[in-house]
Amino acid sequence: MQETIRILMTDDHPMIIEGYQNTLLSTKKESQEIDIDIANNCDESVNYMDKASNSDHPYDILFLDISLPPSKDGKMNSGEDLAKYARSVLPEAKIIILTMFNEPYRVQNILKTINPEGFLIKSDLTSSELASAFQAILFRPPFYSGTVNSIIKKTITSDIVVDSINRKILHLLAQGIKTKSLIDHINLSMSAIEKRKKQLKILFSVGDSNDESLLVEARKNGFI
Amino acid sequence: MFRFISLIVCLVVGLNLSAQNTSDDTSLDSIQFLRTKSKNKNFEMSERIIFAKRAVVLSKETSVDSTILKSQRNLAYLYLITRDYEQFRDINYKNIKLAYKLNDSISMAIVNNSLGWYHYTEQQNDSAYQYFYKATKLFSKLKKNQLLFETLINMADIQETEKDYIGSEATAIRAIKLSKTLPETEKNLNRLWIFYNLLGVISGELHLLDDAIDYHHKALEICNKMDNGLDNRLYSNNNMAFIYRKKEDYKKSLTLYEDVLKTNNLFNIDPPFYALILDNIAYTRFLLEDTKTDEIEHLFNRAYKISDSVNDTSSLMAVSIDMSKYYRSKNQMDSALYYANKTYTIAKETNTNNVILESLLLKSNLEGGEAAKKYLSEHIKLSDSLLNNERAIRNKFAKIEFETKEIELQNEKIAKEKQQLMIFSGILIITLFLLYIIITQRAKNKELQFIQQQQETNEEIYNLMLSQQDKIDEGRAQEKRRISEELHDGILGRLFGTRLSLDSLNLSTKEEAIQTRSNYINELKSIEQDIRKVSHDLNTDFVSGSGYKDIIKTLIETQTAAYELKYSLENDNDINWDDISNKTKIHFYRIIQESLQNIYKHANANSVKISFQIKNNVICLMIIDDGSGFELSKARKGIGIKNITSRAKEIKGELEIKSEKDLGTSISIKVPI
Repeated sequence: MQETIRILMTDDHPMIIEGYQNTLLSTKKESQEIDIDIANNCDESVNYMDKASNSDHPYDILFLDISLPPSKDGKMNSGEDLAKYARSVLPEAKIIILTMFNEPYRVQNILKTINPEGFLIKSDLTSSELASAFQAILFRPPFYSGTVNSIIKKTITSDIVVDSINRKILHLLAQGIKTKSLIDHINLSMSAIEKRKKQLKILFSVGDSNDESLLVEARKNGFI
Repeated sequence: MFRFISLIVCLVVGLNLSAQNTSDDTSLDSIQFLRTKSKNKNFEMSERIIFAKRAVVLSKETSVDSTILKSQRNLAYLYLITRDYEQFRDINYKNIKLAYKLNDSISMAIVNNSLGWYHYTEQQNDSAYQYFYKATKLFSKLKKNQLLFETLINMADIQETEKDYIGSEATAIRAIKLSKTLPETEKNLNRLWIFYNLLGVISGELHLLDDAIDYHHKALEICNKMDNGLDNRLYSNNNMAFIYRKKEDYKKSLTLYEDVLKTNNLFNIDPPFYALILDNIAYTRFLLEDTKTDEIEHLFNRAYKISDSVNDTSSLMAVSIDMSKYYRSKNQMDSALYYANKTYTIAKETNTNNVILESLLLKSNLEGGEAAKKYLSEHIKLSDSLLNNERAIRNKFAKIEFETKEIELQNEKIAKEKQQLMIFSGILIITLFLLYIIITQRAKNKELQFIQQQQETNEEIYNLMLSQQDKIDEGRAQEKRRISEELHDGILGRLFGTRLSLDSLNLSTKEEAIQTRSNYINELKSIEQDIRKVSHDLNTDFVSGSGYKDIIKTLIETQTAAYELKYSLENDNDINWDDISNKTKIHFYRIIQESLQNIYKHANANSVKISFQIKNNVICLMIIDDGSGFELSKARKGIGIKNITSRAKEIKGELEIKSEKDLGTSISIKVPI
């Protein structure tokens, strides 16, 4: 029996979508019919989703990039926002996140907020992996890239418990943002931020007040 | 005689006082020596005068007024003791001028006293009084009480002589008060006796007879204190007896006269006085209506004989007039007339006016008829003229005092004016001083403000440079972000897509797949191109060194736009502005700013050329305009040029300014780096 799998791919690089298409088409099973819609930005993606939600055949799988040109109304800024939206309009659809980002903080954030059926890091990805991931997600989700798996593993095995705000602080510091500028990114007072940094330093057994050694230690433990 | 000695003492005292001023100048030594010799009593008087005269001549050669005065006063003293009064007067006239010129008060006082004394002896009482008065004023001011006291005797005497009894009384009382501050020496007691005696006589003349008796009693008390008061006691008693006779207490009067007469050896001591006492006893007894007329006449005759034999006119006049009165009452008219005539003749000879008057009255009384009328009219005429004289003299005395007082008032006024002038000039000086302080303070403040302003502008430029640096840093960061994004979003994505596609095609060997693969390989080529482009972008440091150049460019652009100047800016690209110290950059900036301002203000130029060049590690800044130029020597002191000079010095630059009229100005600064 022929089975039609409806897919929406959202990525701003046509070359990448072409890659996905090529891979899927060449590796699909005989019984599988693949119907692909392509969106190059948030607005297009939302349009397709809205249309599909009203149709008899909504999408089975959504391919979502994280960094995307934002929507014109400014509501959608990234693949994360699109994924959240998709969860509300297309609850049945499986979501595959494909991204260049491999920092533990971002990865963990995405896992937490979206909990996607597939999480693939572009730099890890080969066409065979994509093919097997596709099949796996269709029938027994989830499927995560090796990098994602190792991040999850590191966090679980670590004795250190770091809450989300502290993770964000570490993440921002790792990006080279200065402590005094952190208040622009985190809704906390300066003294609270300083306090948290002190706690982090105790947590990671970094005696001196050098931020650099804190970041080194955090990176070792997979928090950044 | 007594007064003569007192004047000598006064002159010597004065000389000793002024001798304190002796200068130790050697040229004065001979003068001093001569003066000392002239005072040496071992020499003959004529020799001493010669020494003194030579001292005067030598003194005149020095042309020092004080020395001349001293020598002349020394000479005056010698003239006095040799009684050469004419010379004494002449030299004192010279001295008084010198003393006033030198404003030497003590000399002024003493010379005035000397001249007073001279006129006094010459019986020129009004002139004498004037000099004495001036002397007393000066002595009183100098607090020379002793000398003042001595001078007052002469003054009181003159006043008494001229019948200015009230004036004389005042002078005597003043002297008596003054005597309390003086030592009670024999001489001073004698002087005091003179004053009391004078007061007694004056009171008698004024018919204040009780007062007169009191004064004479006091005079007698002084005689008791004196070691040698016999003469004075005799005179006092005689005067007292005279007052009692006036009081018509003839008995008391007679007792006193007779007491005097009992004095041992009186006849030998003072024959005229003895004669006078005899006469007084005779006349008093006659007044007592003593019946022993032969005794009275005997006394009169004896008195007359004695005074006639010693030829003492005053006692002779007194005896004659008394005898005339006596004989008139005895109706022996011939004798009476004889003595009246005798009195009149002597009085006329000696100019004793009061006696003339009395004798005229007597004569008219004795003769009767036309002669009596003639004598009476003569009497009236003389007494009128005397009265007028007395009045005139009294007026003169008053006038002298008034004038002196007026001069004093004027002096006071001048002194006051001087004081006011002093206060005024003091205030003026203080005001000027304050003004000077304010002005210098203001200048200092201005300077400080200027320095502060300079610092502020320096800071401003520094901040400008810093912000420029920030901008550069920001630009760099942005560029980094842009390249990163370009790599991440563009190239990486495309590479990934291409890899994925190639990967998927890898498995296929179909003709179609081979075709597609070659497309992807071409895609890889285009990605290569893109990477090369990014690499090139990274290689060109688009911001390096542009910071300071931009600041200078902005400065020149905005300023020349405001001044409507054309400009050209050349910057040697070999200059690495980042390596040059901020100080140098700031000063370059300010020098350019200042120069542009100067060009705008003074040069009237159309265009300006600014260039930075580097050669052998020396940066040369040139600012050349095509304006009107200026004369260097005149503009040296202008603030603009001064600022440029000081700034060039600060950065150890070599400044050269060339300017020619109508050809423009060029400024070059060479700074080693």
